[in-house]
Amino acid sequence: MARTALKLGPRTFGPDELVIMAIVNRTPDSFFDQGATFADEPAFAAADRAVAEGAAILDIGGVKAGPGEEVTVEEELRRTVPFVAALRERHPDVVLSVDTWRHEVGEAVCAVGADLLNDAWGGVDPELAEVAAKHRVGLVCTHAGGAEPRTRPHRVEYPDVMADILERTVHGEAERALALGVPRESIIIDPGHDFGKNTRHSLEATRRLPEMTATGWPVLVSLSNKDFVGETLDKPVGERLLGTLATTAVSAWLGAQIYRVHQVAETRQVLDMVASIRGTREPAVARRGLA
Amino acid sequence: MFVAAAVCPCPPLLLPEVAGGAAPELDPLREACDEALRGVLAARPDVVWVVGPGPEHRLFDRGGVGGFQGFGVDVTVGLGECAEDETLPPGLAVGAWLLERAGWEGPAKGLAVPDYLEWPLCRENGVELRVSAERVALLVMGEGSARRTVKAPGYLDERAEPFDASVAAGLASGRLPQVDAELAFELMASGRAPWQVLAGAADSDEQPVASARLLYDDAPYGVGYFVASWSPGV
Repeated sequence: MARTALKLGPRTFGPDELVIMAIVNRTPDSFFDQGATFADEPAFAAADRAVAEGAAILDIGGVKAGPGEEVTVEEELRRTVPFVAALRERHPDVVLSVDTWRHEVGEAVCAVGADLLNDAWGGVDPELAEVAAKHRVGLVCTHAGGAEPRTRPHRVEYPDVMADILERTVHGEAERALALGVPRESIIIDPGHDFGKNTRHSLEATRRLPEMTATGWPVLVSLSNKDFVGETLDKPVGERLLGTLATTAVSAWLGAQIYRVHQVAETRQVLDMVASIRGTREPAVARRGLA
Repeated sequence: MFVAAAVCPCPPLLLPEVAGGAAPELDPLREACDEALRGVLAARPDVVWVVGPGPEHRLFDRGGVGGFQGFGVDVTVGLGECAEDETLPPGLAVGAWLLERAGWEGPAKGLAVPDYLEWPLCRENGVELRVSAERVALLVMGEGSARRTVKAPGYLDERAEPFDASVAAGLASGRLPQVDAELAFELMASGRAPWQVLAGAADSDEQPVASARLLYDDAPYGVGYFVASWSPGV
Protein backbone atom coordinates (compact mmCIF):
# COMPACT_ATOMS: atom_id res chain seq x y z
CA MET A 1 0.00 0.00 0.00
CA ALA A 2 1.45 3.35 -1.03
CA ARG A 3 1.81 5.94 1.70
CA THR A 4 -0.64 8.77 1.41
CA ALA A 5 -1.54 11.89 3.34
CA LEU A 6 -2.43 11.49 7.01
CA LYS A 7 -5.56 13.39 7.98
CA LEU A 8 -6.34 14.12 11.60
CA GLY A 9 -9.01 16.63 12.56
CA PRO A 10 -7.92 20.07 11.34
CA ARG A 11 -4.62 18.89 9.90
CA THR A 12 -3.34 17.04 6.86
CA PHE A 13 0.25 15.76 6.90
CA GLY A 14 2.17 14.74 3.78
CA PRO A 15 3.88 11.32 3.83
CA ASP A 16 7.29 12.96 4.37
CA GLU A 17 6.17 15.22 7.19
CA LEU A 18 7.50 14.22 10.61
CA VAL A 19 4.92 14.97 13.26
CA ILE A 20 5.23 15.55 16.99
CA MET A 21 2.55 14.42 19.42
CA ALA A 22 3.17 16.08 22.77
CA ILE A 23 2.20 14.28 25.96
CA VAL A 24 0.03 16.23 28.39
CA ASN A 25 -0.89 14.03 31.32
CA ARG A 26 -3.82 14.84 33.54
CA THR A 27 -2.56 12.36 36.10
CA PRO A 28 -1.01 12.81 39.53
CA ASP A 29 1.39 9.91 39.10
CA SER A 30 2.74 9.42 35.55
CA PHE A 31 6.33 8.19 35.49
CA PHE A 32 8.04 11.11 33.82
CA ASP A 33 6.21 14.24 34.92
CA GLN A 34 5.05 12.97 38.32
CA GLY A 35 1.84 14.97 38.25
CA ALA A 36 3.30 18.24 36.98
CA THR A 37 0.27 18.88 34.76
CA PHE A 38 -2.44 17.36 36.96
CA ALA A 39 -3.80 20.82 37.79
CA ASP A 40 -5.47 22.98 35.13
CA GLU A 41 -3.11 25.92 34.98
CA PRO A 42 0.16 24.03 34.46
CA ALA A 43 -1.64 21.72 32.00
CA PHE A 44 -2.75 24.62 29.82
CA ALA A 45 0.74 26.13 30.07
CA ALA A 46 2.32 22.82 29.02
CA ALA A 47 -0.07 22.50 26.08
CA ASP A 48 0.62 26.06 24.93
CA ARG A 49 4.34 25.54 25.20
CA ALA A 50 4.26 22.25 23.29
CA VAL A 51 2.35 23.89 20.45
CA ALA A 52 4.74 26.84 20.39
CA GLU A 53 7.68 24.44 20.22
CA GLY A 54 6.32 22.55 17.24
CA ALA A 55 3.85 19.90 18.37
CA ALA A 56 0.99 19.33 15.91
CA ILE A 57 -0.84 16.87 18.16
CA LEU A 58 -1.57 17.04 21.88
CA ASP A 59 -2.11 13.66 23.54
CA ILE A 60 -4.15 13.93 26.71
CA GLY A 61 -3.93 11.11 29.20
CA GLY A 62 -6.06 10.62 32.27
CA VAL A 63 -4.64 7.35 33.52
CA LYS A 64 -1.05 6.46 34.29
CA ALA A 65 0.17 3.64 32.04
CA GLY A 66 1.83 1.66 34.81
CA PRO A 67 0.09 -0.02 37.73
CA GLY A 68 -1.16 2.22 40.52
CA GLU A 69 -4.22 3.62 42.19
CA GLU A 70 -7.40 2.68 40.37
CA VAL A 71 -8.87 5.32 38.10
CA THR A 72 -12.58 4.78 37.48
CA VAL A 73 -14.30 5.72 34.23
CA GLU A 74 -15.91 8.63 36.08
CA GLU A 75 -12.58 9.88 37.32
CA GLU A 76 -10.95 9.51 33.88
CA LEU A 77 -13.85 11.48 32.37
CA ARG A 78 -13.47 14.18 34.99
CA ARG A 79 -9.75 14.50 34.24
CA THR A 80 -9.98 14.57 30.46
CA VAL A 81 -13.31 15.83 29.09
CA PRO A 82 -13.34 19.45 30.35
CA PHE A 83 -9.67 19.79 29.45
CA VAL A 84 -10.20 18.57 25.89
CA ALA A 85 -13.18 20.89 25.51
CA ALA A 86 -11.12 23.85 26.69
CA LEU A 87 -8.17 22.93 24.47
CA ARG A 88 -10.50 22.71 21.48
CA GLU A 89 -11.34 26.38 22.01
CA ARG A 90 -7.77 27.36 22.76
CA HIS A 91 -6.04 25.53 19.89
CA PRO A 92 -8.45 25.07 16.98
CA ASP A 93 -5.64 24.14 14.55
CA VAL A 94 -4.02 21.51 16.75
CA VAL A 95 -4.94 17.83 16.60
CA LEU A 96 -6.36 16.69 19.94
CA SER A 97 -5.70 13.10 20.88
CA VAL A 98 -6.81 11.25 23.98
CA ASP A 99 -4.86 8.32 25.37
CA THR A 100 -7.48 5.87 26.60
CA TRP A 101 -8.56 2.29 26.20
CA ARG A 102 -12.15 2.89 27.34
CA HIS A 103 -14.96 3.48 24.86
CA GLU A 104 -16.93 5.54 27.38
CA VAL A 105 -14.06 8.01 27.56
CA GLY A 106 -13.62 7.93 23.78
CA GLU A 107 -17.28 8.75 23.28
CA ALA A 108 -17.20 11.68 25.71
CA VAL A 109 -14.01 13.28 24.39
CA CYS A 110 -15.12 12.95 20.75
CA ALA A 111 -18.32 14.76 21.71
CA VAL A 112 -16.25 17.75 22.83
CA GLY A 113 -13.89 17.85 19.87
CA ALA A 114 -11.16 15.17 20.11
CA ASP A 115 -9.70 14.20 16.71
CA LEU A 116 -7.79 11.04 17.56
CA LEU A 117 -8.14 8.15 20.00
CA ASN A 118 -4.81 6.76 21.11
CA ASP A 119 -5.63 3.18 22.01
CA ALA A 120 -2.32 2.48 23.67
CA TRP A 121 -3.38 -0.87 25.15
CA GLY A 122 -4.01 -2.49 21.80
CA GLY A 123 -7.74 -2.84 21.49
CA VAL A 124 -8.68 -4.37 24.83
CA ASP A 125 -12.02 -2.58 24.56
CA PRO A 126 -13.31 -3.45 21.06
CA GLU A 127 -15.96 -0.75 21.28
CA LEU A 128 -13.31 2.00 21.19
CA ALA A 129 -12.76 1.50 17.45
CA GLU A 130 -16.52 1.66 16.96
CA VAL A 131 -16.55 5.04 18.69
CA ALA A 132 -13.77 6.25 16.38
CA ALA A 133 -15.78 5.07 13.36
CA LYS A 134 -18.97 6.67 14.61
CA HIS A 135 -17.29 10.05 15.11
CA ARG A 136 -15.05 9.68 12.00
CA VAL A 137 -11.95 10.40 14.11
CA GLY A 138 -8.50 8.81 13.93
CA LEU A 139 -7.35 5.73 15.80
CA VAL A 140 -3.88 4.65 16.94
CA CYS A 141 -3.64 0.84 16.77
CA THR A 142 -0.96 -0.14 19.24
CA HIS A 143 0.77 -3.43 19.88
CA ALA A 144 0.70 -4.35 23.53
CA GLY A 145 1.07 -8.09 23.02
CA GLY A 146 -2.37 -8.76 24.44
CA ALA A 147 -1.42 -7.31 27.80
CA GLU A 148 -4.13 -6.08 30.15
CA PRO A 149 -4.14 -2.31 30.71
CA ARG A 150 -1.80 -1.02 33.37
CA THR A 151 0.18 -4.19 33.68
CA ARG A 152 3.93 -4.69 33.36
CA PRO A 153 5.36 -7.38 31.10
CA HIS A 154 6.40 -10.46 33.01
CA ARG A 155 8.46 -13.05 31.17
CA VAL A 156 6.74 -12.21 27.89
CA GLU A 157 8.01 -14.25 24.95
CA TYR A 158 7.54 -13.88 21.22
CA PRO A 159 8.81 -16.31 18.61
CA ASP A 160 9.08 -13.23 16.38
CA VAL A 161 8.18 -9.92 17.96
CA MET A 162 7.73 -8.00 14.68
CA ALA A 163 5.54 -10.72 13.25
CA ASP A 164 3.30 -10.38 16.32
CA ILE A 165 3.27 -6.58 16.01
CA LEU A 166 2.24 -6.77 12.38
CA GLU A 167 -0.35 -9.46 13.06
CA ARG A 168 -2.06 -7.56 15.87
CA THR A 169 -1.75 -3.95 14.71
CA VAL A 170 -2.11 -4.26 10.96
CA HIS A 171 -4.06 -7.43 10.35
CA GLY A 172 -5.92 -7.10 13.61
CA GLU A 173 -6.73 -3.61 14.78
CA ALA A 174 -6.06 -1.43 11.71
CA GLU A 175 -7.99 -3.58 9.26
CA ARG A 176 -10.81 -4.06 11.73
CA ALA A 177 -10.97 -0.29 12.28
CA LEU A 178 -11.11 0.29 8.54
CA ALA A 179 -13.90 -2.27 8.17
CA LEU A 180 -15.82 -0.55 10.99
CA GLY A 181 -15.62 2.77 9.14
CA VAL A 182 -12.68 4.59 10.68
CA PRO A 183 -11.30 6.80 7.86
CA ARG A 184 -8.37 5.06 6.14
CA GLU A 185 -6.29 8.26 6.15
CA SER A 186 -6.69 8.56 9.94
CA ILE A 187 -5.55 5.10 11.06
CA ILE A 188 -2.08 4.87 12.62
CA ILE A 189 -0.07 1.89 13.81
CA ASP A 190 2.30 1.86 16.80
CA PRO A 191 4.72 -0.94 17.79
CA GLY A 192 4.11 -0.09 21.44
CA HIS A 193 7.62 0.17 22.85
CA ASP A 194 7.78 -1.29 26.39
CA PHE A 195 4.11 -2.35 26.22
CA GLY A 196 4.10 -6.11 26.68
CA LYS A 197 7.78 -6.10 25.79
CA ASN A 198 11.16 -6.38 27.40
CA THR A 199 13.99 -4.07 26.37
CA ARG A 200 15.32 -6.39 23.68
CA HIS A 201 11.84 -6.66 22.17
CA SER A 202 11.60 -2.86 21.96
CA LEU A 203 15.07 -2.59 20.44
CA GLU A 204 14.21 -5.19 17.84
CA ALA A 205 10.92 -3.45 17.09
CA THR A 206 12.90 -0.26 16.46
CA ARG A 207 15.44 -2.04 14.28
CA ARG A 208 12.66 -3.62 12.21
CA LEU A 209 10.49 -0.50 11.79
CA PRO A 210 10.82 -0.72 7.99
CA GLU A 211 8.59 -3.81 8.12
CA MET A 212 5.89 -1.63 9.64
CA THR A 213 6.35 1.32 7.30
CA ALA A 214 6.27 -1.08 4.33
CA THR A 215 2.61 -1.77 5.13
CA GLY A 216 1.79 1.81 4.14
CA TRP A 217 0.05 2.68 7.41
CA PRO A 218 1.59 5.71 9.12
CA VAL A 219 3.73 4.61 12.05
CA LEU A 220 3.71 6.29 15.45
CA VAL A 221 6.49 5.62 17.93
CA SER A 222 6.25 6.37 21.61
CA LEU A 223 9.83 6.23 22.86
CA SER A 224 10.05 9.10 25.22
CA ASN A 225 12.16 8.37 28.30
CA LYS A 226 10.90 4.79 28.41
CA ASP A 227 12.43 1.87 30.29
CA PHE A 228 13.94 0.28 27.17
CA VAL A 229 16.03 3.45 26.77
CA GLY A 230 16.83 3.47 30.47
CA GLU A 231 17.89 -0.18 30.50
CA THR A 232 19.85 0.09 27.28
CA LEU A 233 21.98 2.88 28.77
CA ASP A 234 21.43 2.04 32.44
CA LYS A 235 20.06 5.51 33.13
CA PRO A 236 17.29 6.65 35.49
CA VAL A 237 14.18 8.43 34.18
CA GLY A 238 15.70 11.90 34.39
CA GLU A 239 18.70 10.97 32.23
CA ARG A 240 17.09 9.41 29.19
CA LEU A 241 16.80 12.37 26.83
CA LEU A 242 19.91 11.59 24.78
CA GLY A 243 18.93 7.95 24.41
CA THR A 244 15.41 8.99 23.47
CA LEU A 245 16.68 11.42 20.84
CA ALA A 246 19.09 8.87 19.36
CA THR A 247 16.20 6.42 19.04
CA THR A 248 14.08 9.19 17.54
CA ALA A 249 16.70 9.91 14.88
CA VAL A 250 17.02 6.25 13.91
CA SER A 251 13.25 5.77 13.87
CA ALA A 252 12.82 8.81 11.65
CA TRP A 253 15.46 7.48 9.29
CA LEU A 254 13.63 4.15 9.19
CA GLY A 255 10.35 5.82 8.30
CA ALA A 256 8.31 6.38 11.45
CA GLN A 257 6.18 9.50 11.04
CA ILE A 258 4.69 10.47 14.41
CA TYR A 259 6.61 10.90 17.67
CA ARG A 260 4.86 10.88 21.03
CA VAL A 261 7.17 12.87 23.29
CA HIS A 262 7.70 14.75 26.51
CA GLN A 263 10.43 17.11 25.16
CA VAL A 264 9.08 18.83 22.07
CA ALA A 265 11.77 21.40 21.25
CA GLU A 266 14.59 18.85 21.38
CA THR A 267 12.61 16.36 19.30
CA ARG A 268 11.79 19.03 16.72
CA GLN A 269 15.50 19.71 16.18
CA VAL A 270 16.28 16.02 15.75
CA LEU A 271 13.41 15.46 13.32
CA ASP A 272 14.32 18.56 11.30
CA MET A 273 17.90 17.37 11.08
CA VAL A 274 16.89 13.90 9.91
CA ALA A 275 14.42 15.34 7.38
CA SER A 276 17.13 17.54 5.91
CA ILE A 277 19.54 14.60 5.68
CA ARG A 278 16.81 12.59 3.94
CA GLY A 279 16.31 15.52 1.58
CA THR A 280 12.68 16.17 2.44
CA ARG A 281 13.38 19.46 4.25
CA GLU A 282 15.51 22.38 3.11
CA PRO A 283 18.13 23.77 5.50
CA ALA A 284 16.69 26.73 7.44
CA VAL A 285 19.42 28.97 6.09
CA ALA A 286 22.30 28.39 3.66
CA ARG A 287 25.29 30.73 3.52
CA ARG A 288 28.30 28.48 3.87
CA GLY A 289 30.36 28.31 0.69
CA LEU A 290 27.81 30.31 -1.26
CA ALA A 291 28.92 33.91 -0.65
CA MET B 1 27.98 51.54 -29.49
CA PHE B 2 28.07 51.16 -25.72
CA VAL B 3 24.78 52.34 -24.24
CA ALA B 4 24.72 51.05 -20.65
CA ALA B 5 26.22 48.66 -18.13
CA ALA B 6 25.15 47.12 -14.88
CA VAL B 7 27.84 45.79 -12.55
CA CYS B 8 26.61 43.10 -10.16
CA PRO B 9 28.11 40.40 -7.93
CA CYS B 10 27.36 36.75 -8.66
CA PRO B 11 27.23 34.78 -5.39
CA PRO B 12 24.90 31.77 -5.66
CA LEU B 13 23.28 33.19 -2.50
CA LEU B 14 21.76 35.92 -4.64
CA LEU B 15 19.07 33.39 -5.58
CA PRO B 16 16.57 33.14 -2.72
CA GLU B 17 16.11 29.44 -3.55
CA VAL B 18 19.78 28.90 -2.71
CA ALA B 19 19.89 31.02 0.45
CA GLY B 20 16.72 29.59 1.99
CA GLY B 21 15.90 31.37 5.24
CA ALA B 22 19.00 33.57 4.85
CA ALA B 23 17.59 35.11 1.66
CA PRO B 24 16.23 38.31 3.27
CA GLU B 25 19.76 39.24 4.32
CA LEU B 26 20.56 40.00 0.69
CA ASP B 27 17.33 41.82 -0.17
CA PRO B 28 19.14 45.19 -0.32
CA LEU B 29 21.69 43.70 -2.71
CA ARG B 30 18.96 42.25 -4.96
CA GLU B 31 17.19 45.60 -5.00
CA ALA B 32 20.40 47.36 -6.02
CA CYS B 33 20.92 44.81 -8.83
CA ASP B 34 17.33 45.34 -9.98
CA GLU B 35 17.94 49.10 -10.05
CA ALA B 36 21.10 48.66 -12.12
CA LEU B 37 19.26 46.33 -14.53
CA ARG B 38 16.49 48.87 -14.96
CA GLY B 39 19.20 51.26 -16.23
CA VAL B 40 20.29 48.64 -18.78
CA LEU B 41 16.76 47.99 -20.03
CA ALA B 42 15.97 51.73 -20.20
CA ALA B 43 18.87 52.19 -22.65
CA ARG B 44 16.98 49.96 -25.15
CA PRO B 45 19.97 47.87 -26.18
CA ASP B 46 19.95 45.60 -29.23
CA VAL B 47 21.87 43.01 -27.23
CA VAL B 48 22.86 42.46 -23.61
CA TRP B 49 26.21 40.79 -23.06
CA VAL B 50 26.57 39.03 -19.76
CA VAL B 51 30.27 39.11 -18.91
CA GLY B 52 31.45 37.17 -15.93
CA PRO B 53 34.17 35.04 -14.40
CA GLY B 54 34.58 31.51 -15.70
CA PRO B 55 37.20 28.79 -15.66
CA GLU B 56 37.95 29.24 -19.36
CA HIS B 57 37.83 32.00 -21.93
CA ARG B 58 34.60 31.29 -23.76
CA LEU B 59 32.01 32.98 -25.89
CA PHE B 60 28.33 32.04 -25.54
CA ASP B 61 26.94 33.73 -28.63
CA ARG B 62 23.97 31.34 -28.71
CA GLY B 63 23.45 31.84 -25.01
CA GLY B 64 23.44 28.74 -22.88
CA VAL B 65 21.95 26.95 -19.91
CA GLY B 66 23.26 27.16 -16.36
CA GLY B 67 22.27 25.51 -13.16
CA PHE B 68 22.86 25.47 -9.45
CA GLN B 69 22.74 21.69 -9.06
CA GLY B 70 26.47 21.73 -8.33
CA PHE B 71 25.67 23.72 -5.20
CA GLY B 72 22.96 21.25 -4.24
CA VAL B 73 20.01 23.30 -5.46
CA ASP B 74 17.89 22.17 -8.39
CA VAL B 75 17.41 25.46 -10.24
CA THR B 76 18.17 25.90 -13.94
CA VAL B 77 18.35 29.18 -15.87
CA GLY B 78 18.75 29.98 -19.55
CA LEU B 79 20.50 32.82 -21.33
CA GLY B 80 19.60 34.17 -24.77
CA GLU B 81 18.89 31.37 -27.24
CA CYS B 82 19.52 28.89 -24.41
CA ALA B 83 21.76 26.61 -26.51
CA GLU B 84 21.44 23.33 -24.65
CA ASP B 85 24.98 22.18 -25.40
CA GLU B 86 26.44 25.34 -23.84
CA THR B 87 26.81 25.16 -20.07
CA LEU B 88 27.11 28.53 -18.43
CA PRO B 89 29.57 28.89 -15.55
CA PRO B 90 27.87 29.88 -12.26
CA GLY B 91 28.73 33.58 -12.59
CA LEU B 92 26.94 33.80 -15.92
CA ALA B 93 24.08 31.69 -14.59
CA VAL B 94 23.51 34.27 -11.85
CA GLY B 95 23.63 36.96 -14.54
CA ALA B 96 21.04 35.07 -16.59
CA TRP B 97 18.87 34.84 -13.48
CA LEU B 98 19.13 38.61 -12.93
CA LEU B 99 18.28 39.34 -16.57
CA GLU B 100 15.24 37.09 -16.45
CA ARG B 101 14.16 38.69 -13.17
CA ALA B 102 14.48 42.12 -14.81
CA GLY B 103 12.12 41.01 -17.55
CA TRP B 104 14.62 41.24 -20.42
CA GLU B 105 13.32 39.29 -23.41
CA GLY B 106 15.64 40.57 -26.13
CA PRO B 107 18.87 39.06 -27.41
CA ALA B 108 21.42 38.08 -24.78
CA LYS B 109 24.85 36.52 -25.14
CA GLY B 110 27.57 35.57 -22.74
CA LEU B 111 31.31 35.93 -22.35
CA ALA B 112 33.25 34.09 -19.67
CA VAL B 113 36.67 35.45 -18.79
CA PRO B 114 39.15 33.50 -16.67
CA ASP B 115 41.19 35.05 -13.89
CA TYR B 116 44.40 34.69 -15.89
CA LEU B 117 43.17 36.79 -18.81
CA GLU B 118 45.36 39.91 -18.87
CA TRP B 119 44.33 43.51 -19.24
CA PRO B 120 45.18 44.01 -22.96
CA LEU B 121 43.07 41.00 -23.95
CA CYS B 122 40.24 41.97 -21.60
CA ARG B 123 40.22 45.45 -23.10
CA GLU B 124 40.30 44.05 -26.63
CA ASN B 125 37.35 41.77 -25.81
CA GLY B 126 35.45 44.80 -24.51
CA VAL B 127 36.08 46.73 -27.72
CA GLU B 128 34.78 43.77 -29.75
CA LEU B 129 31.61 43.64 -27.67
CA ARG B 130 31.08 47.35 -28.14
CA VAL B 131 30.99 47.02 -31.93
CA SER B 132 28.92 43.81 -31.94
CA ALA B 133 25.64 45.71 -32.47
CA GLU B 134 24.22 49.17 -32.88
CA ARG B 135 23.28 49.48 -29.22
CA VAL B 136 25.22 47.29 -26.81
CA ALA B 137 24.69 46.91 -23.07
CA LEU B 138 26.72 44.85 -20.59
CA LEU B 139 25.79 43.02 -17.42
CA VAL B 140 29.14 42.63 -15.72
CA MET B 141 29.35 39.97 -13.03
CA GLY B 142 32.02 39.59 -10.38
CA GLU B 143 33.05 40.45 -6.84
CA GLY B 144 35.73 42.25 -4.98
CA SER B 145 37.97 40.43 -2.56
CA ALA B 146 36.76 37.30 -0.77
CA ARG B 147 39.30 38.03 1.96
CA ARG B 148 37.74 41.01 3.65
CA THR B 149 37.36 39.55 7.16
CA VAL B 150 38.59 36.77 9.38
CA LYS B 151 35.36 34.88 8.69
CA ALA B 152 35.52 35.51 4.93
CA PRO B 153 35.80 32.51 2.58
CA GLY B 154 39.50 33.30 2.03
CA TYR B 155 40.27 34.52 5.57
CA LEU B 156 41.53 38.07 6.21
CA ASP B 157 44.05 39.76 3.96
CA GLU B 158 44.85 43.31 5.06
CA ARG B 159 45.20 44.38 1.44
CA ALA B 160 41.59 43.46 0.65
CA GLU B 161 39.91 46.52 2.09
CA PRO B 162 42.03 49.17 0.26
CA PHE B 163 41.80 47.09 -2.92
CA ASP B 164 38.01 47.00 -2.75
CA ALA B 165 37.83 50.67 -1.76
CA SER B 166 39.73 51.67 -4.89
CA VAL B 167 37.42 49.53 -7.06
CA ALA B 168 34.34 51.05 -5.42
CA ALA B 169 35.70 54.55 -6.02
CA GLY B 170 36.37 53.65 -9.65
CA LEU B 171 32.88 52.24 -10.18
CA ALA B 172 31.44 55.40 -8.60
CA SER B 173 33.50 57.73 -10.79
CA GLY B 174 33.07 55.92 -14.11
CA ARG B 175 36.72 55.02 -14.44
CA LEU B 176 38.12 51.82 -12.97
CA PRO B 177 41.56 51.89 -11.35
CA GLN B 178 44.52 50.04 -12.82
CA VAL B 179 44.14 46.71 -11.11
CA ASP B 180 47.02 44.30 -10.77
CA ALA B 181 45.85 40.89 -11.96
CA GLU B 182 48.20 39.04 -9.63
CA LEU B 183 47.02 40.98 -6.58
CA ALA B 184 43.37 40.48 -7.58
CA PHE B 185 44.05 36.74 -7.88
CA GLU B 186 45.67 36.62 -4.43
CA LEU B 187 42.76 38.55 -2.96
CA MET B 188 40.23 36.22 -4.65
CA ALA B 189 38.60 39.14 -6.44
CA SER B 190 36.63 37.44 -9.21
CA GLY B 191 35.52 40.72 -10.79
CA ARG B 192 38.90 41.88 -12.07
CA ALA B 193 38.81 40.43 -15.60
CA PRO B 194 35.09 41.20 -16.21
CA TRP B 195 35.59 44.79 -15.00
CA GLN B 196 38.48 45.19 -17.44
CA VAL B 197 36.25 43.97 -20.27
CA LEU B 198 33.79 46.66 -19.18
CA ALA B 199 36.57 49.28 -19.31
CA GLY B 200 37.28 48.22 -22.89
CA ALA B 201 33.62 48.29 -23.89
CA ALA B 202 32.99 51.68 -22.30
CA ASP B 203 36.38 53.04 -23.32
CA SER B 204 36.55 54.29 -19.76
CA ASP B 205 40.32 54.04 -19.46
CA GLU B 206 40.48 56.88 -21.99
CA GLN B 207 37.52 58.93 -20.77
CA PRO B 208 35.37 58.25 -17.68
CA VAL B 209 31.76 57.39 -18.52
CA ALA B 210 29.50 60.39 -18.13
CA SER B 211 27.06 58.79 -15.74
CA ALA B 212 28.23 56.39 -13.05
CA ARG B 213 26.37 55.45 -9.91
CA LEU B 214 27.57 53.10 -7.19
CA LEU B 215 24.38 51.52 -5.86
CA TYR B 216 25.79 49.01 -3.37
CA ASP B 217 29.13 48.59 -1.63
CA ASP B 218 29.27 46.13 1.22
CA ALA B 219 30.76 42.82 2.28
CA PRO B 220 28.08 41.10 4.39
CA TYR B 221 29.87 37.73 4.26
CA GLY B 222 33.41 39.00 3.93
CA VAL B 223 33.23 39.15 0.13
CA GLY B 224 33.19 42.60 -1.50
CA TYR B 225 29.92 43.07 -3.36
CA PHE B 226 29.48 46.10 -5.63
CA VAL B 227 26.56 47.17 -7.74
CA ALA B 228 27.02 49.99 -10.22
CA SER B 229 25.15 51.51 -13.12
CA TRP B 230 27.07 53.08 -15.98
CA SER B 231 25.93 54.93 -19.06
CA PRO B 232 27.65 57.20 -21.53
CA GLY B 233 25.16 59.92 -20.68
CA VAL B 234 22.79 61.92 -22.81
